[in-house]
Amino acid sequence: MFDPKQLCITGTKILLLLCLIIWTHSSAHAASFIVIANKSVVESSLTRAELQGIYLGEKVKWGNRKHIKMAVLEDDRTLKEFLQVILGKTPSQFDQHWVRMVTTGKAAMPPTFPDAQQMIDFVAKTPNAIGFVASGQTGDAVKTIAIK
Amino acid sequence: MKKALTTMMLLAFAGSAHAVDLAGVEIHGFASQGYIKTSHDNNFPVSNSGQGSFNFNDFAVNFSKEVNPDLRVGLQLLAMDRGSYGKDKITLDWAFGDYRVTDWLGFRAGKIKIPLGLYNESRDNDAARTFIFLPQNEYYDYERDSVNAITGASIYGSIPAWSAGTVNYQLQVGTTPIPLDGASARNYSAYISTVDAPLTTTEVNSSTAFVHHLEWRTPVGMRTTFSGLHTSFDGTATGIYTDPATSATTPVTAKWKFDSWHRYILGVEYVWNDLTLATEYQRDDYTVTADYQNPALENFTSRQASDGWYASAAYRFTDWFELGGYYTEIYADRHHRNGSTFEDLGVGAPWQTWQKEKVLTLRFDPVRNLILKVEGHLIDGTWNMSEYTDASKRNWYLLATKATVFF
Repeated sequence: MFDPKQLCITGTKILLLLCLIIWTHSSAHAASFIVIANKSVVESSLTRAELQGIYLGEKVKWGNRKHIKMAVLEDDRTLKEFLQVILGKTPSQFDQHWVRMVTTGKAAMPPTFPDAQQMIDFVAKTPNAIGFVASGQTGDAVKTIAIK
Repeated sequence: MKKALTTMMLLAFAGSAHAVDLAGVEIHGFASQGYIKTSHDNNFPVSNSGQGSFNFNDFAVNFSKEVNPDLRVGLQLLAMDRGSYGKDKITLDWAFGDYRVTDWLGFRAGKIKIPLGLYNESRDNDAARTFIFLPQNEYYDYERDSVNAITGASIYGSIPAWSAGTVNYQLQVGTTPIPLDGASARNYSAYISTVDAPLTTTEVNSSTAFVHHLEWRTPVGMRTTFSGLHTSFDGTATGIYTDPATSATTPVTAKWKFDSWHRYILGVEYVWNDLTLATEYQRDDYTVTADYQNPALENFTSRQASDGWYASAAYRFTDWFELGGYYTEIYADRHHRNGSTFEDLGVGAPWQTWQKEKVLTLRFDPVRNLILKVEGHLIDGTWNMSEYTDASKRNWYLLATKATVFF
């Protein structure tokens, strides 16, 4: 039986729960990673939503319509923090997302690098590339992307 | 021999599994070997008479190449064995060209996976989920061929919704290729068979199918999807009618049609740290028509209205251990969930019009690219057992284990 009062109470509970979830996510602490890009990339800053889109394979083009070449750092601590802060995912959830993408033909697996220097070298040499490393490891070969 | 090859494959991949790249062609794949056992008489989906079976595996390999930054091509070969169907026959799972104009507009043409609900596109890949069996209300194994892929074209894209996240869309048009020796064809045969006239589908034709899929991904870990599939199938089936009074036999040919099939699915997934919650509701409307070329059988046209839902939870306790569970219900007739449809017609027990399952899964990831799972189902009802009209147990169980490697 449809009960408007019960519907209002349930709706209020769902809204309160959503507010709690949003507050929990928005109170993420300052990150200790830096997003880097090839110097050919026009953008100097990205929103968290844009970074989410890039690392989920949804946003594939820069503003100048060049194809984004995204790379992943395998270093456990930095990877975990990057995925948690930017995507709200664990490494396992991130792996499963990309396994789904690849086995349904939607995208190629992003290249991974075991250490920061290899990541920086890749980003520096690859036009339109983007990656991330721990803070303080960038150098002059790449540009830093601010997170808006 | 097959078992030995499977074991060797599992061991070979388990050590160091990585993607293979040959001249720009990226190669990935997965291999799963399982064991399944159900209550005696209620064999699903493997016919094993309650003895347990290793005829429960999946193998896939895919090849893709970036022709230029905007254009990709690829294909995946898949073989599966479910005892009564599959039998490790190699099939073309998907094969398409993908041209991405911009973030919000891309085109695909070829054989493309159908995006129904949260997980249909990746339903065959054991590595991509916690459970061995996705909830059967929506990811029914005997319907896979009808909803797996569309041969045609699609447009898709990703549209930023500012602080509300991102909206992804897909629209597809084409036909759904259904093999005669597959599970869906068996399922259609079961619909139009009677106890006295078991029929086998000899031809299947798919009308033009339309698929729409909308996904709203919020910035707070929630993903909501709304999908629809609209199509019709028709074909022929043959068999032998045995008169119950005289035991005289006559051949039967039937023309059948699943007309105006409309499926809608609403899904929500929420991920918070190591916790994943999901729920989906699905409803189907279609008309089944059977025209028997035999005077002993009565033609029929029946309007069907089924639905189902599930709620699942999975929690990863450590890097190598995850626990998951779900509860699901499906009803043959959403207007008579108590099964009175069958009861009034006198064709079966009420519990044959529903299926309710409680499922618990343990997933282990002992090393990268290797997954081991154990899963138990407690099931009330036999609606999904339509292939086995003599399924005699209302309350039954299913136990499955699976080892999967992927690269």
